[in-house]
Parts: sequence; C-alpha cells; structure tokens
Amino acid sequence: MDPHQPLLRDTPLDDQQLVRYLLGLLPPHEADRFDEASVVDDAVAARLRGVEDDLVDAYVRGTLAIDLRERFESHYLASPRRRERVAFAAAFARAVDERPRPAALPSWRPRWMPALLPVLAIAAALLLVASAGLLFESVRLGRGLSLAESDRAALDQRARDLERQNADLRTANADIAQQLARARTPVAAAAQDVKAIALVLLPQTRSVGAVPVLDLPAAPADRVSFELRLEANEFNRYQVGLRDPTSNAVVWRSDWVGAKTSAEGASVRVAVPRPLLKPQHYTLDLAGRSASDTAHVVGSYAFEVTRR
Amino acid sequence: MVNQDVVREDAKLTPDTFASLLAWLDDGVESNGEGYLEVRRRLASYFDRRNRPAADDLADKTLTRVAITLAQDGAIATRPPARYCFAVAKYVLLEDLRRDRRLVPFDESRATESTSIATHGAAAAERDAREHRLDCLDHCLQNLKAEQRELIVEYYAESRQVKIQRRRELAVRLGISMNALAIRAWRIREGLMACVRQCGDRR
Repeated sequence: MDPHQPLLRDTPLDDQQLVRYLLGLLPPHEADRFDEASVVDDAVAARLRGVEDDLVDAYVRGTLAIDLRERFESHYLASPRRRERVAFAAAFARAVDERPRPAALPSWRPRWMPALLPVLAIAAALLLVASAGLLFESVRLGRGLSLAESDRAALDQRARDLERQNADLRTANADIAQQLARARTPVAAAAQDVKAIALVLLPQTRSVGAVPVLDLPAAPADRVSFELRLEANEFNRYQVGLRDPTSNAVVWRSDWVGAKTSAEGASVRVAVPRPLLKPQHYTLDLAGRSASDTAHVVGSYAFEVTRR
Repeated sequence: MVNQDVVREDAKLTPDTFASLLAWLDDGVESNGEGYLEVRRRLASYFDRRNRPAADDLADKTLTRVAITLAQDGAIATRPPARYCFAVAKYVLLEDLRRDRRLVPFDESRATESTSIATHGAAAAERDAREHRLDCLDHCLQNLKAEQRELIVEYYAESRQVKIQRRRELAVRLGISMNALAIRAWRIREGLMACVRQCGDRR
C-alpha cells in the first residue's frame, strides 16, 4: 500500500458522512477508518475541522434538524472539550451575525458601538447647529468688514447647502419616526390579538439553511406573535416551546391550541412574551396532541432575534 | 510498523529528544513547530472523539513515546510521520480504556451543569460567564487585523445566500483556493478561541 495514498480513497467523502462520524453514527469499522484518516490524511483532517465548525454553528443557531440536534446533544455534548467549543461558538456566532457585512462596513465595530450611535447622532446634530451659528456670525462680521462680494456669495451658497442638509435631516427624522410607528403597531397589536403576525416560519428541512430574522424595535410591547406553517395538520391541538439553544432550555411554553387554516395552508399561531426574546438565535419546538391524548414532536422552527 | 516495544513507561523528554521529534514530524520541510502542533491537535481530537476525558494528556503521552522511540532507534521509517503517531495513539487509547475500567472519572463540568439547573444563583453565574465570554470575544476580535476580521465575518456569518456559493466568491475575491480559505478561516477561529480561553482564565 502506498503510504501517501488517501486512507478514504475508496469512500466517496461528503460532508454528511463527516457529520455522521462526528455524531458517532458510523458503524465501528468505518469509524476506525475515519479515526485514522483524521490524524494521517491532511485533506480529511482539514475538511473534518470545517465540517465540525459548521455543525456546531448550526447547533447554536438552532438550524439543525431535530434528529441531528438530539444526537448532537446526546453524543457531541458528552465531552467537556466539545462543550467548550459549543460555548465559544454561541458567542462567536452572535458576534459575527451582529456585524455588518464587510462590503457595508469595512472597519470593525465593537459590540457596545451600536449603543453609542444615538449619542453620536446627537453630537453630530449639535455640531451642525454650532456650524450654522458660526456661519451666521461670519456673515454678520463679514458685512461689517465689507467682504468681497464673491466671498459672500460663497458663504451664502454654504448657508443654503446647510439649510438643505437640515431639511434633509428633518425629512429623514420624519421617515424614521414613521417607520418606528409602523414597527410598533403589529407588536402592540400582538399583545391583544395573534392576528398580527410578527414572523411567519416555515417547516425546517434537513439542510442547514438561512435563518429567518426577527428585527425587534426596542418598543415596550408585551408579546411577539409567530405563525408556524404546518406541513400537515395531523393533530387536534398543538403546543409551542421556545428553546434557547445556548443553554438548550425551553424558556416558555404556549397553551395547547388548535391550528388555523388559510389560503396558505394550516398553521399554528402563538404570542411569545416579548421580554424573553433577546438578540440571539432561538427555536420554536412544536408538539402535537392527537385525539388519544398522546403528544408527539412535530418539528422545530429556528429564527434569530436582532434589535434595532 | 508499531509493536509492543513502543508501549513502555513514560519518560521525560530532553530538549534534544524534543528537537529530534520536531524535525522528524516536519519530514524534511521546516515548519517552526507547526507540524508538531498540528499532529498534537489531531491526536487530541481523536482521543476526545473516543470520549477520553484527558485527551490533551493522551496526545502528549503519545508524542512522548514517539520521541523516545525515535531517540533510542535513531530513525522511524514509517511515512508520513502522522501514521506512526496514530499507531502509537491506538495503544495509548487501549491502555487508557483499561485504566478506565478501574477508575470512574468525575466529570466536574457536568456536575456543575446539573447543579446550575437547581440553583438560581448558579444560573446567574452562567449568565455572567456568557457575558464575560462575549466581552472577551470583543476584545480578541479587536486584536485581529482588519482583513482577518472581515474574512471570518464573511466566512462564518449567517447568510441569506447559499453558504458554499458565498465562500466560493470569497475565495475568488482573495485569489486563493477553497481549501486555503477554509484553513485560513479555521486558523483565525482557533486563535480567537485560544484568546477567549486565556481571557476567561485571567478573570
């Protein structure tokens, strides 16, 4: 045997297989081959690391399919060393997801920077007012000193520019106020009525896809409503649990409710207490109860909360 | 290849023995110790996947035995060196499993987790630890070069696009292969994890 040949050359290596290896789902003789390849074969070692990071990231973002998630919790989390990786990944995923993409913002902003933005905005406005005051003063003094006509024209032009900028700022402020008012309306309505849906979630597939984002305004609303679309309406009653993937704890459960049917199909609607939702990933675990009163796991719906 | 001769009592490494090990692991290509660190990392992960609680210690024990064999025999013909290391690691694993039958290790972190469910104070401490970890991560991220930060945000961020496609575009933009990109991203991430760990230890 050529010692430099890849150990898994007869095995079509795909990421799903590596995931199965990491979750202890391969038969022992296959796992042994992967063990050796993970140490000896540079390509397998590198790919395994990438797949492992993606797997852990998918877990902390709540995007793993329910069967993989259960296996992840029973097998992968059994090791303190791997739990440390998961704890790091929870913080890391939150940090990178909060960052604007490089194209939008080339420089790094620390986590506390968004909190400073209103202060910076006020400072900018004060500077603008001060600049306008100085400009006015310059013009007054300029008159006294018989400034050249051309200079005054230039100053007038600057004054007009500033006035236009002020007008633009006023318009932008009005737009933001309107957007805030619009954003508050459905959340406030949700406190009384689940008809106003903040986020519609579709059934999750096995693939690791993008997570819907709920961009919450910092409004003092009591509840946020969700509509969970069903693949099939097989149960009489449903219950929804809000799971925090970082601690894996279910932090809230709904009452048992019936599904509603519309043109889009059947769905379950619930309103989650607003204070429970922090800027991070969550999953909504859906359980169904049949007429015989047996509860079954229906599926899970991942989403991410961000705050404006 | 490997026989029972390698399974012998551990001895201390001398600087010369260790230097020989580094050179042998480099296999003719000077890596400034990177080859050693890489094999050690892979061995520790192997032991960890085999659910050995002291994975790092077992990786060290494996490399110590390889180094002593190398010093005593003058050379080890097996190539690549990692193949020989793995063969020794299997013996080390078997020994550890045998020892495990006599001793039941106490997983302190798991015990702490169960307690934290029961006590409100521990839950608050866990929240504090999480916040502290985030602060450490902020600090460590700021210590990265701007292009490194941009790379990991782009590489690891949750995406509205298909992840593979986004990474492929990033590799094209940087003028490197997908494999090189994956290794670069992973190295930055591992460096951050080590930085956060050190920051946590200093607390």
